[in-house]
Amino acid sequence: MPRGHVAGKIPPHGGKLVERIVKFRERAERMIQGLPAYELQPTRDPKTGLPIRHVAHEVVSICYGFFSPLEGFMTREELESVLKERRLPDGWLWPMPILFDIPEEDLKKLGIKEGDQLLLMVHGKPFAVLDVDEIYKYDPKEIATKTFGTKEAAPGIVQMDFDAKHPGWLQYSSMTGTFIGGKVTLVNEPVFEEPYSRLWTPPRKAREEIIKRGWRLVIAHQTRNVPHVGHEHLMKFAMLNGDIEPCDAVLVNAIIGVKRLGDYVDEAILEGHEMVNKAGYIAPEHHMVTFTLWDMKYGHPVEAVLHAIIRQNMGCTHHMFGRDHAAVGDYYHPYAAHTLWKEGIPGLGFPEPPHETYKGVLIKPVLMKEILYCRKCGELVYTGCWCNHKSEWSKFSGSFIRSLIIEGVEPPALIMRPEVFQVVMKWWEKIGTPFVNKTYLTTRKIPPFDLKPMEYSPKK
Amino acid sequence: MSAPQTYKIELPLDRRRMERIEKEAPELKQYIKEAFGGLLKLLEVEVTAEQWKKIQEDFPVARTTPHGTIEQLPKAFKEALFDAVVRLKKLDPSVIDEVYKNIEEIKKKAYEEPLFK
Repeated sequence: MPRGHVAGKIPPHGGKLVERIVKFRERAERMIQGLPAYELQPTRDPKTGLPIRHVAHEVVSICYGFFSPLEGFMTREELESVLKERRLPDGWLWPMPILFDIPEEDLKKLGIKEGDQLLLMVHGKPFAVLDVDEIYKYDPKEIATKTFGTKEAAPGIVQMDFDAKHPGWLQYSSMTGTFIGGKVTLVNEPVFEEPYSRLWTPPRKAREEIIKRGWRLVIAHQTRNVPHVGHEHLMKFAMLNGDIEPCDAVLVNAIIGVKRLGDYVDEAILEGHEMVNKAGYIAPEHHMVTFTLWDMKYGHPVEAVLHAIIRQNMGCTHHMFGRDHAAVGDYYHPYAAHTLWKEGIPGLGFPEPPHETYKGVLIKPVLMKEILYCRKCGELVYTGCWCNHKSEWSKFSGSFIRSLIIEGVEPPALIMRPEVFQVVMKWWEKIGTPFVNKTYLTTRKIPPFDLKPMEYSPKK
Repeated sequence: MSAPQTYKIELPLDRRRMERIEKEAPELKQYIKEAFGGLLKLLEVEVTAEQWKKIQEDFPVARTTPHGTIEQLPKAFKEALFDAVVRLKKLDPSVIDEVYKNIEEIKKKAYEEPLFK
């Protein structure tokens, strides 16, 4: 019986790692001359005007292969196929729309038509070239609702109707309704500042690094939080899953993008996870911190499939999914993602588990329940199979820890490692807040990178 | 799982707050809950669904856990709540009503806190 896939060598989703980056500057500059230029703008909350998404994050994730086999933004056929069957037209499983929307008036000003190319600009500099294969209209609210599902179609899984309070529903429903479908190619690679720079590990680099480190089995850990001790132990316990031996390492992959008010700032999330290995709580030879640019859609089971694809593309063999994976509020059942991986969710368009279906994912899901502290046992316990002293349990809660920090109470070391807490304090001092607030959302550079200047003459 | 019908706010008790309880409201000591093997001491204040609605309107960053605990409230609100708890020596929803008597002042202070700027 085969032992299964090996980390770093597991085939990418769709069979081939997509890389659409023009590395040679002269070639890139030749490619962009005379193209109409379009400065990318964030999608904004229609009510508050605050940024809620930036399509440049998706451009980077497509072009570096995080989203393999996607090579560009979805055409109408691709969008309808994903909304109806959660599959691309060629059959590969794909959970949610990846769309390039544009205001109608901008489209008119640019004067572009199908068959043209559009130069996408970021921070006033050339960034990527979009092939305008198709221009089409689609109702954004319909996209939002079909993406996340309904109570009627998925009873027990979807618990509440989605609305503008749900950040992912808001992102999709706030799109302009006019879309461009077509391949996208990066002509100017992002230049990150620290701490992003040292942790930037796109799929090819991640695979090379995994092979270099000699890791055979690697489990991915999805995060959008500064780690507390519960997260740390979740990683440690999840690593014990493997095949004939535990996983060699955990690959932490933080989702970096526009976030909700009250979330930790991205810099603290990245350095907080890094501190777990720097301070030795997980040995550095078993732990790697990376990130993906993506504006979280908080789509719980739906987003879990995207996470599995991203981490498979990065070379991981396993992926842990816990309670409320990529969730917000009570929209989904807390263990909806577990149901998905155990039996599928037909009402959401997944009639079978995503790893047991034709052209599905190859990564192995590891379903984890909660880690908590048991006073009677005097230790951290796993709720899935261990002690039964329920009245003695204390649960870890990220938002409770945030509440402590807001009140100026240092969390006990059993809850948050002091070195990790110091990282939170460092960023509080450095940027004036440890949490995403309106000032952070409006003054932070989005997307969080620079671009080098390029020779470019616009269309005459 | 449907949305809870009643909510609560947890007040962590550091040394300063414990001293105030000792001095000003020792009758509350019997309600102190311990978490994480006694490393954290807490008082829980009951909140009605209607009160939670008001709190959410005033502080949209506040969130509830699936167990109905309201979290991510501004320090100014929590300090005012602790004051009211000690003053009234109660943990029921009337304490929230007491806090709401000065809500405009609390909101002004809260909007200076990093989370709410």
